[in-house]
Formats: sequence, C-alpha cells, structure tokens
Amino acid sequence: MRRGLLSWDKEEAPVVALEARVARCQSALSDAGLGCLVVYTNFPRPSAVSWLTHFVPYWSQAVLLVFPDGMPMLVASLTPRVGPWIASVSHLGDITHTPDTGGGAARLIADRCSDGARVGVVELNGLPGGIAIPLAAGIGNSRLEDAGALFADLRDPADEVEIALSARAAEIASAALEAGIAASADGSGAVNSAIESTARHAGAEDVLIHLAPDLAASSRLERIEGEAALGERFAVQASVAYKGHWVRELRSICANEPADWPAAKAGFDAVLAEMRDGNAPGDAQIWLIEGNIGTRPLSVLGSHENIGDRALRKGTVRVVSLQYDLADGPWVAGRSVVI
Amino acid sequence: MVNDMSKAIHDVRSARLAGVVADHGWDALVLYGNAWQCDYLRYATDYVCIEGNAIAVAVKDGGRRLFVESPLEAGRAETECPWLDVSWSPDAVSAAAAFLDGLGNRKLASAPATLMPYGLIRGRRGEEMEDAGPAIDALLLAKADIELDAIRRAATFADRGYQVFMDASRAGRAQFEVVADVEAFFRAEGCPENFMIMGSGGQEVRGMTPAGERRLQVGDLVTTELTPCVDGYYAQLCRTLVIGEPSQPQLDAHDVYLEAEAAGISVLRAGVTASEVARAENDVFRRHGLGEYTTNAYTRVRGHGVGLFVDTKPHILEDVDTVLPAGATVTVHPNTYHPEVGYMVLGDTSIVTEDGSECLIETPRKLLSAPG
Repeated sequence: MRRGLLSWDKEEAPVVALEARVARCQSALSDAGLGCLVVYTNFPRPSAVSWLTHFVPYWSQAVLLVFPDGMPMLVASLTPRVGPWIASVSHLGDITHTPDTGGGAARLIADRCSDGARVGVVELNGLPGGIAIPLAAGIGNSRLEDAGALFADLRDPADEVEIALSARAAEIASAALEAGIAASADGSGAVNSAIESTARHAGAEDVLIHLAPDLAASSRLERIEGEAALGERFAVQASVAYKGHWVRELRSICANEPADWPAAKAGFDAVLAEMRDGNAPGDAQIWLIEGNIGTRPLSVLGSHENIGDRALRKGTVRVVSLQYDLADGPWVAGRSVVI
Repeated sequence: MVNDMSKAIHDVRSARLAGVVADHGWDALVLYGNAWQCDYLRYATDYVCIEGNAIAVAVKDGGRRLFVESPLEAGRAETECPWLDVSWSPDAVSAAAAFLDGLGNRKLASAPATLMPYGLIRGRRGEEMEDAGPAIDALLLAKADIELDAIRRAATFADRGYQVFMDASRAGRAQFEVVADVEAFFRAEGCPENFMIMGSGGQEVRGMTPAGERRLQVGDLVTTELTPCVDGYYAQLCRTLVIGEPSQPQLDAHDVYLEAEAAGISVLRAGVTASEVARAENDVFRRHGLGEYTTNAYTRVRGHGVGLFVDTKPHILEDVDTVLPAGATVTVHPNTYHPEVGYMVLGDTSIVTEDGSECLIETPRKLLSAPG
C-alpha cells in the first residue's frame, strides 16, 4: 500500500510538461479517430494517469477521460471529501465522484462524443469488471477498443521531466541500498528497515524491497516476513517510486567478494553502456528489461528469451536486471538506464 | 521461503474453501488479486500479489494455476507457495483466459466480481460464470481461530507502531518523515505491510490522506490509522494526538468520539448487524447535535471489517444489514470532522464473539499528546 510522500512539486513536474503530454495524447486520439481515451488508475496501476496528470491514488480507483480537446476529466470512486486533496496533487479538469465509475464515465462520454464514436481504453482486457461492464453497457461494447499500443507509443521517447524524476528515484534507490547493505550485519529486518527509512526520508512515494537471502543457494528474490538468515552472499533489490516514476536497483553482496565478481561487475557496466547505445544485454544468462508503457509501474518489455520491440527504443527509461551464472554461483544486478 | 505459520493458516482455509466449492458444484474457481486487494486470491492460494495482476484458477481435482505478469512475481510465488503451478506473461489476463478456454464446458465461478478483469468475463464466458463472491465473503467474514490469532498479532504490531508514531510526531517534522519512521519500525520487526494515512492541523482539516510535506505545529491535531499486516491479516488502530497540551475544546470534542466508539463496541456481538453498530455510534453524535457529521459529506464509513484486506466487508453504515457472526473482525471508528476543532479519529479492531467482543488494541483510548 502507498504510504510515503505524495505531493506535487510544480518545479519538478511543471504544468507545461503535463499539458504537453496531454496534447500528445490528444493528437494521437485525433489521428486514430477516437472520440475518447479511457485510462484506468488504482494503487497498483497508477502510471498512465500519473504520467498525464500527476495523480496517484492511494486508495480506491478512478478512470481518466481524455477527449480530443480540453482538460482530462477524472471519474473517481473516491468520495468528494478527497476532491481537494486530488486537486492539490494533480493537474486535472473536472472531477466526478461516484461509486459507479464505469457508468459515470459512460455518461460523460455520451455527453461529449457523437453517437458511434470509437472509445479507446488503455489495456481494455485488464479493466476491472465493476467498471468495464457498466461502461460497455452505457456506450455499447462495440465502441470500445484496446488503446494500449497507442498509449505505449506516447511514452517514447521520455521527456526531460520523466528522465529527471527517474534519475531522482534511482538516486534514492542507490542511497537506500547503501544504507541497507551497511546494516546487513544485523539481519534482514535491519536491511529492510534501513532501506525503508532512507528511501522514505528522501521523499520516496513507495519502496518495495526484495531479498535473495542466500545467493549461493538461490537468486530468487523474496519479500521477507519475519526474519531471514542472510547468507555470506545475498542479493537485495529496492524498487522505488518518486513522483510517479519507478525504477529498480539490484545488487549482489558478499563481505569477502569471490574472485570472479569484479569481472561480473565489469560485465554489467559494459551491458549498461551497450544499452545506452540501444543494444541488448550481451552474454548474461538471464536478463530482463522493464519499462513504463502502460498502467503498471514497470512492465516486462524484453528478456533473454524474447527481445521485445519496445525494450530498447531510443530515449526511453528502462530497468535492466541480469544474472551471470558464475562458477561458484549466481551473481545478479539491476539498474535503470536511459537508452 | 515458505512461511510455516502462513502455510498452516492456508491449510485451514483450503479445507474450508474446498467445502464451499463442493457445496456449489463448481468445477473451477477463478480468483483475482493485485497489490491493493488480494484477499480472495490469498484465501485460496496464500500468494500475495505485489506487482501487476494475478489470477488463480483452482480446478477441481486438477491443482491450482497462478498467472502473474513478471518473472519477479513468478519466482517469488514459486518460492513462497510451492503448491501452485505458476506461469508469467506480460499479459496474464489473456494467458488465464486461454487456460479457461481450454477447460471446456465446465461450471466456473469467480470472485471478486468488481475487480475481475474484463478480458476474463466479457462475452459468453462471463455470462456463464457464477459469482463466487457471496460464498467466499462468508468465509472471509467468519474467521477460523488460527486466522484470529494472526489478527491478534497484527494488533500487537499496531499498538507498538503507534508508540513509534507518537515518538516521531514532533513540532517541525514533516508528515512523510513521521511515516518513514513508522514504516522503518515495521520493516525492522519483520512486518512487511502496513496501510496508513494521516492528517495534521486544526479546524481546516477534513480528513486523512497520504503523507505530505506539511510540518507539524504545536496545537495540531495529528490523526492516523495504522493497519499493519501479519501473515496476510490486518488489524487497525485509529488515534488522535495533539502536539503539546490539548485544549479544552479539543478534549470536549474528543469525548464525543470516545462515547460514540464505546457505544458502537458495546453492541457488538454475534447476530448484530453492521447497521446497528453504526446507529449506536451515530446516535451519540446526534445527541450532541452533530448528526450532520455522520453523513458521507464528512465521513466515509463508521468502521469496517478487517482481515485479509484492510477495509473488507461489511462497511459499518446504517444502511448495511450484514449480520456479524462470531469470528468476524471489525474496526469500529467514528472518525469524522468536528466543526469546532477539525477531523478526529478513534478506532479499534475487535473480534465479535457469541456474547460480545474482544478488543485487540491496547493503546489507551484518549486524546493523546506529544511534546511540542
């Protein structure tokens, strides 16, 4: 659950930048002949609406309606009491509060669009039934179409604000991991606590912490409940959100570093350099590229099994995680990079 | 790593769920969860979703499939829940839909209906799928003893967490710094999850929100609800404190909340409705001429269930007729705006018993104060 700082600094995320994104979206809508774009948001899927408006819900759900002109409108199941807070942290037009989010959206679309106008929905298949069914009933199922690809194209390339806020998130993740690693002699709880404290005091919106407690045995990352014994080698990952922008950093830790780890680190640095030039990770046994192209903070865009066509687009912010299977066990790392 | 206690609770839940599935003659149960609400999914699988969509399909005599959206989630699910057959796809909804298509003409049920992805319920499949929600809601509501033990442990965390909150609440500190201290405490103690919102200020404050940058000041009312989670189960505590010494108007106002919460808790027992609990709370406000502040213009609910979700059914409202059985766990909280001093909160999680209730929170029920 979201529990860190949620605020809008208009110097970090200027109105003009948000309006430019909305204008980009409206232009794409017109080009596609769509009368409206419906964008869902809730706590685990805040990213598309956040990118357009800076709004991140901490509770409940909402849909954003973007029409070919005018300010985006929010239809939220949050009660009107929360309206002033929403307005204080986001750049929006009208906010409609209704428990019937789908029906409310359908009525606004009917008011603004001509009969028969096509309506795009970002990730239509993922829209919750409680919204999708009344929306489809209100405007006609045949008028709804998936607009996930249309929206994903809007995210390439990232603008300066996205790159700067992602960089800030990466700084926070790095500092938090440093603090966590420094506390590791006191166990997994101390690692988690130090990461949490450092990230949140630095203004993180959210932080997710995963550990591979005994890297010699397994590189699988877990969420630790209770206390886990840390092996001589362990891995720790911090996924950090700052003002709606998510990154991850993953590190392998060993007090007495094995002989082949420096070469692995050099290999990872080389991968980052290659990716900045638009090339896929080279010789890692397992790798993954994630990015923000839809409602989820980070979506899988490519892997060692399938390099997707969006994974390495120039000017985008991506997170790469990889694993080298070394002679005496796995070594893992991950960071964000601008392609 | 399999959490042994969580696994033990899972075994109890699995047996109860199997009975419900058999009673209804369902061939497969489809359950959805995400990081916001994962209670139905966790009940059936013990898996807690942290990122993306997650869909479980429990097939009668055919194992339990889990569809998630990243290898990170899949690896964690396989490690924490080895009884699941896990697969990942960037589009877990389509992967699950294809699996359901492969089941052929079987009797399917799903829950929760409101969150079930459109890709799984559109068209004929959705029309033929039964709503498993009411049957699973009954399981979520009347908890087994082993589930109640987890909620007791969560309540202990809530008490300890509130002490950290009090220690962190000092004039000059920003809201988000206070939250950082509380969350760091929970992580240090191995508590992986907590939901909290807060408010600070005076008469101008109308509710609680996520932490902002506002710095606490002497005289502020500082409100929070803490909701830590243990083995998947939440317990909630709501308290109001004052930075510095409380004023007489603040104390007088808080007395109304004390009276209202006590009234709500006093009617808790097996067989009572959520409506009766809400009415008991609201009658106190009405007696004090504050009935207007029990409406949704000023307050969302007068309490709610807690369990595998922070804010589960039933909502404690005068128009909710859900009967509370023994083993239900509810937070009674007459949180609302007070026109003289601002927004105040007071709430405690209790277990409903045959002849009353067992309050799980030990933090004193009074208007607390922190040094200025």
